[in-house]
Amino acid sequence: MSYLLCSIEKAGILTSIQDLGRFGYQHYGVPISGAMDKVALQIGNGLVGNDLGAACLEVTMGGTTLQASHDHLVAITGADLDAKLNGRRAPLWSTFIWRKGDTLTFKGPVEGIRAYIAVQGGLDSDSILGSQSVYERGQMGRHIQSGDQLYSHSNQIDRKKIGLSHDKRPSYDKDIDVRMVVSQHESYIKKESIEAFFNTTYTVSAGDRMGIQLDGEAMTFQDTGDIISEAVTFGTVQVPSSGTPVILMADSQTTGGYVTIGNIIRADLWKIAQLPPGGKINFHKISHEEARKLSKDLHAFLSSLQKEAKYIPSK
Amino acid sequence: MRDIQYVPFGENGIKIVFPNHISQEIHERILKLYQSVKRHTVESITDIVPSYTVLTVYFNETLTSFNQMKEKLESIWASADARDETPSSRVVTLPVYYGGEVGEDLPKVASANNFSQEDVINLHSSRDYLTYMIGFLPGFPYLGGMDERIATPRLEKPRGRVEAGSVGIAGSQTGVYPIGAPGGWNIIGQTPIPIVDFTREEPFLIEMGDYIRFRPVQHKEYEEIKQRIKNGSYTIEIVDKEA
Repeated sequence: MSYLLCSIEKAGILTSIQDLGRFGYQHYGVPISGAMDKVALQIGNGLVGNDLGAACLEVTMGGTTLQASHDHLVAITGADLDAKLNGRRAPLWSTFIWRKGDTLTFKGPVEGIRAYIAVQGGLDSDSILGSQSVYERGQMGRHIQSGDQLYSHSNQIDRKKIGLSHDKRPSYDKDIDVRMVVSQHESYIKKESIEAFFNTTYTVSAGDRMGIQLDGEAMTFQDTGDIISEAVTFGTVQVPSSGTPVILMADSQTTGGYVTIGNIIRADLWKIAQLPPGGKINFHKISHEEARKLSKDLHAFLSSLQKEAKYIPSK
Repeated sequence: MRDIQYVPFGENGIKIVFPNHISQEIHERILKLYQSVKRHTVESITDIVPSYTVLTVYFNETLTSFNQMKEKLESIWASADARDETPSSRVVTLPVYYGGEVGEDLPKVASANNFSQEDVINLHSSRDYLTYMIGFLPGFPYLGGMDERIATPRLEKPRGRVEAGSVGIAGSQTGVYPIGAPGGWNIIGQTPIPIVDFTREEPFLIEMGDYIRFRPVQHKEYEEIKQRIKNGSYTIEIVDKEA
């Protein structure tokens, strides 16, 4: 069944339906896509009682206005985009009933840049290759436009007002440390350049769902930075001929012909997804074993969200 | 195999790195490994991405580790390598209407190489092209083996949009656009066959390892095929490649 959820009065800068992404098609050149911040998306789904991977609305930067068409149980997670419900501060990281006629606005970034609206039952939209994640460049759905209507798989409201305790909420700094597992291309880059990469601070100059460009120490190659194209993915740090690194994000192409430094660990990707232009990044090297442990810890935390029926009530 | 290396790709990937040059021999070894890993349907594997010299295997890191995956892949490879079989591959025929409105760079490609347009069509359609890998866009085949005599540099200024089905040349590579996208390839023709169609049971027409055969057709046949695809009466020509 499909239930009318809301109408989009103003789409804003970039708003799209995303879930955990499209898996098993990278060999056909199809990116993973899905939420840029998969932690916030999963927390939102956990709060409203969905499968952690249910489709949510990803609101980037804001400028977005939505009006509820019926009563629904929702939760807003991720960035604080100055969300307001009928002009008053909307609850974040906790469930609330979005009543028919109520207007939800996202004015602009206060902390972080991507907010998620999870609705009980999950958003209902076309699924392409097993995912509702919109990837416009590959003609898999399109971004939200003003005047669109959104649908949900349910109109049930069977949960109490619950929220995520403050100590468990992610915070979105503008100066972050991220860890990475280095790739086998290290030998293509001058040794002092690799050292500099891990010892200097990079600044986000521009970014979108495909990738984030960095300003900072340009890297120099032993010989060339061009390689025979091979797989790259969400989190791979590439060094194009200019020498300044690019972090490939959710809509990353699946293969690339530039040298890579390594992959950002999955437990840290969300920090980058929430970093605004001008944000600072320091990179640190860790082993794939440590990275795996951190990913498992994160996975356990997210799974516990769903299993624990009793949430800490929000005030 | 002593000339291949297993290296971590993040915490959820493993790259099997073959000698670093493009050749049909390496392609066939990667294809063989790719096909046998696929046949084994290992539950923790989430995707396998073949490319010219590397096979990348993505796995669910909450279920398995790099070392476990490496052992698994080594044993699959050992048994596959022991069997002396050549990997299967197919020939996909794409009818192409060369030149005209749908191939506006054909005159340029001809004059740049001192050929007539007919010569370019003949040279381009007289051999089968091996799909070394898929990437860049969903379904986009990286084809090898084009005649160097029709190699033409990319457009200085990429077009804002190249239509789906467009057949192009960039440097010494040829390819076909699966979906409409911006692009800097010299467009010499168009196939009416959808390379990607999400409503089809097999949405992607071309696989790594397939050979692509371009068959020149006149405008009338091009329009007829287009029509037959619309009403579902056209069967795309796919045959097994003879060994």
